[in-house]
Amino acid sequence: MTDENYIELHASSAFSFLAAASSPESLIETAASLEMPALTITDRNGVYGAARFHTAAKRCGIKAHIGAEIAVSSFGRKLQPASWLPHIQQDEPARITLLCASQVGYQNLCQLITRFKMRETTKTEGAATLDDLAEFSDGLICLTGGDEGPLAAALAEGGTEHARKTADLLEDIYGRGNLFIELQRHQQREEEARNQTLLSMAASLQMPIVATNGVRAATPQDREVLDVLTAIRHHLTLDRAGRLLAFNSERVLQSASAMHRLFRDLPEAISNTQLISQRLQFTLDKLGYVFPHYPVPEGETMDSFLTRRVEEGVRKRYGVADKRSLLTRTRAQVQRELGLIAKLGFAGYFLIVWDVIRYCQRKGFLVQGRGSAANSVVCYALEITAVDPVGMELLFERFLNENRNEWPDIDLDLPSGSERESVIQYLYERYGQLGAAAPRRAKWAKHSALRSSRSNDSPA
Amino acid sequence: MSRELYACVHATEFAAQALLRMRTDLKGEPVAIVDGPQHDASVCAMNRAAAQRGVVHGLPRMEVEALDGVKILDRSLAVEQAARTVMLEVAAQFSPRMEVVPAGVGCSIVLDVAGSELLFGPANVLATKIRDAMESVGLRVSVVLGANFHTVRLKAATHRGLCIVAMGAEAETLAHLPLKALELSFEQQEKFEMWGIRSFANLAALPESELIARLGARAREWQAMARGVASHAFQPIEADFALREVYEFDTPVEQEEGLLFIAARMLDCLVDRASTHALALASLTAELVLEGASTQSLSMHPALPSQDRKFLLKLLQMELAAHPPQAAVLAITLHAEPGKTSKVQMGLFAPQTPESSRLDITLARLKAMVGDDRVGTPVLEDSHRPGSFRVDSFQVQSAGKAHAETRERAALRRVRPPRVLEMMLADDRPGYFRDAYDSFRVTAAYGPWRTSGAWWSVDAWDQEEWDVMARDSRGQTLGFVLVHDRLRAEWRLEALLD
Repeated sequence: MTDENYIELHASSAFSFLAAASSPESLIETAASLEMPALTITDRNGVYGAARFHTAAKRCGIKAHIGAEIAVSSFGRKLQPASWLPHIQQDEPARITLLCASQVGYQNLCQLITRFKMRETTKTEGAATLDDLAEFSDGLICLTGGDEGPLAAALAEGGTEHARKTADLLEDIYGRGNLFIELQRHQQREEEARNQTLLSMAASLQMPIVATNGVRAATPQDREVLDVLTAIRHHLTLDRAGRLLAFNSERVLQSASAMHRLFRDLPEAISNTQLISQRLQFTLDKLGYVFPHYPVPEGETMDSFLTRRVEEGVRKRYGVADKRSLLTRTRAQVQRELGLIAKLGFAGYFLIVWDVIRYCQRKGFLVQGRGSAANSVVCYALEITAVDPVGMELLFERFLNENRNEWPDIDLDLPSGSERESVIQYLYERYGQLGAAAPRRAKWAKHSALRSSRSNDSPA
Repeated sequence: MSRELYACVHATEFAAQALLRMRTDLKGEPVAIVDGPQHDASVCAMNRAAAQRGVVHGLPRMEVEALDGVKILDRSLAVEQAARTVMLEVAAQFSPRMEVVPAGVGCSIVLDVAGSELLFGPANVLATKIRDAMESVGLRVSVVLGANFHTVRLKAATHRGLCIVAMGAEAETLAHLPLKALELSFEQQEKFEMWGIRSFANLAALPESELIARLGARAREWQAMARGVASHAFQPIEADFALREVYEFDTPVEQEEGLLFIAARMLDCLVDRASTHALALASLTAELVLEGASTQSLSMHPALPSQDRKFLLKLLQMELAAHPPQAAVLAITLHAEPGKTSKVQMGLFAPQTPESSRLDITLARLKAMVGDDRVGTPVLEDSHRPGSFRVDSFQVQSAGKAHAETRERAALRRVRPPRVLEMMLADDRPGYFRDAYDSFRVTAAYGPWRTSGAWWSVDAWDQEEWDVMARDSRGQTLGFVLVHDRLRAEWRLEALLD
């Protein structure tokens, strides 16, 4: 590691959906090659890339900080090009950068995003209000953003006074010491003029400053991808995208020495990146996630309740004449599986899946567990799966292994249509809307690649 | 009392009329129009003066050439089609319900004018107005009004001038018409000839049942026409309003005067037609068919839609001067886009601006001198490329709100073209440079300000700008904007800071 240390606190990944170019893994690999000890992912209005970012960072020995750029409707629209310049920029709310300092901060960030996304009635990204920010402010550190931030917007709209009020407002919400005036240097004249105003404002308000690079791509080469994604996002060809495209190739991960050179007049802005990084104690290792509790009768624990249900199931499944010979081996296997489930704290999860199965049986819906869950005699006893793992001599470790440090994954096949919807509604009602979710995967598909090639007016 | 009223407008010798409406220089001259292959061409139409010289349909070209003073023109179907469109357009001023009917070498349109008396007056006034309107676009027509569709159609094809067929007098009006007006087959005509039936009156007087027994059901229709009582299901067509005039020259035209002579007449027609719809010409496109099967298109866009023929002709002349045809012209098509004849309301305190038509001519003159792409208004482009702009067509800007600049800014003097420099760097920053005039030592440098883009095209750019203070050889300190073109590895002096 070099003597000069700089930690990038504002880097967007491709999970900012067409607003940034590089995958979380690519960001981490580049940061590792630059000998950056830590990196922060700050995607737009979401933490979709956090898990991959965290995993990649662990692999490379980098500390992965989690944050997000959050759109705030109360701060007006984000900075637009000057009125005399022709452009096709669309109005977007200004965005602040929030970093998770603690587990509470991560929970608040997630709840904040959920709050304003649930409020939208149409397919829009949504924006938080000041009330939302105030309600979910604990454990978060706020950076004022670059040209997408509220201070840039306020300076353009109402000058220094307006920007001071905005900064005061943010400080009231996040508290002194948790708000940093963010400075970015992408070698643009207008940006530097804004920086000088922000510097004098920060000095007069006695607010700390911090340098970031507002990263949108891992390397200068990825800027081309960023331009193509921008064109796709606005349904334009590259030739027609104009000022929507990147001004230059500077919004990339920079080495510590490069950032030190850029901010040689402001060493405090660089050193503050390390101070903030030290305060960002939260990582996804400390997620603190617990499965929803399954309600059990008075005097029972989830483990004891699960043991009883499994015992009933074993009697039912293996009590028949042709399987009685397997009973001894089955009981030993059940004991081993229940021991591991209790150790890992997964009893609630198995009981919830069992509950779903029972609901389907009551309603007469066809339901069947599949995949590696069929290797578990507990699943078989709970009638989640229909294959006898003892009789078939299946390997339980394919399903659940203490060393893999992974959560169990039981896939259920359900009939599509109203029956499936009925099961989803049952889960919502019994375990709460925020405890159940329908996952959606964002992944580049063939048609996206085709659109990408069309952005250059070339045949797909 | 019948409420039906039809007006048939018939232009006789249409092939001749279509060509001569553009050739005012041939007015009164005997002109014959020939059609067919060069060695076997024969007369298909003629004007009255030519007929008086003995020109008849089917006369071979060589015999026409032997007639003294008869001008011969080749038939042009494109010109006839354009004239037919004009005729429909004029007719549409009197009724939206029109039907084109076959009329041999002429062109006939029947209008349903029932109920139009309140608009245009009695039948004879309406007939006069229709004739005058057709004459204004260069077409001489006969107009017949009556209550029966077929009566007016048959009468118009054989009549010259205006005619009003009184109610109940249809049979009498048609009585003297020869039977060939019914477009009978040769055998049918022979049969009637053999019976001594030669006119509509003879046919009308025959007993109906015996006639049908001998000639079939069609005979009932013929007799009904001859009696002026034939019915007709009107099949209206919709006239397209397209400001388009076509002329095909009989010999290739090389002189601009010859081209403009015809173009002037075509412009007159276009302006007349547009003005009848209370419109003006917003744009004008001239398509020239040149010898060697090539074409050339010229477009003119006056600042305001105009009905000023002289002005439009001048614009066309300027455009021709700027883009002279590369070969002799065989045909010209003028196509105009209509626009509203609105006037520009200038502000009371707005600065005086030149009259739009004069401005257009001045701009056209400038374009003829320096090229199309070098005259107009510079407009900034939506691009990060420094100094990128395009030239749009010049338009007088209305006086906008004055922008009050409150900040003090350093004045920047652009160096055009930028001067290429020799640069020596010190710590990756400008240290010493010289141009063709002097050498400079940099005392302070701010930057670099970087911009790059269009990486996907040959117009890619990637450059750094530096704001530097530098001392020249006389010890004077000056401010400069220097540009490092990273793609060409070239340093340039772009501007001086005052």
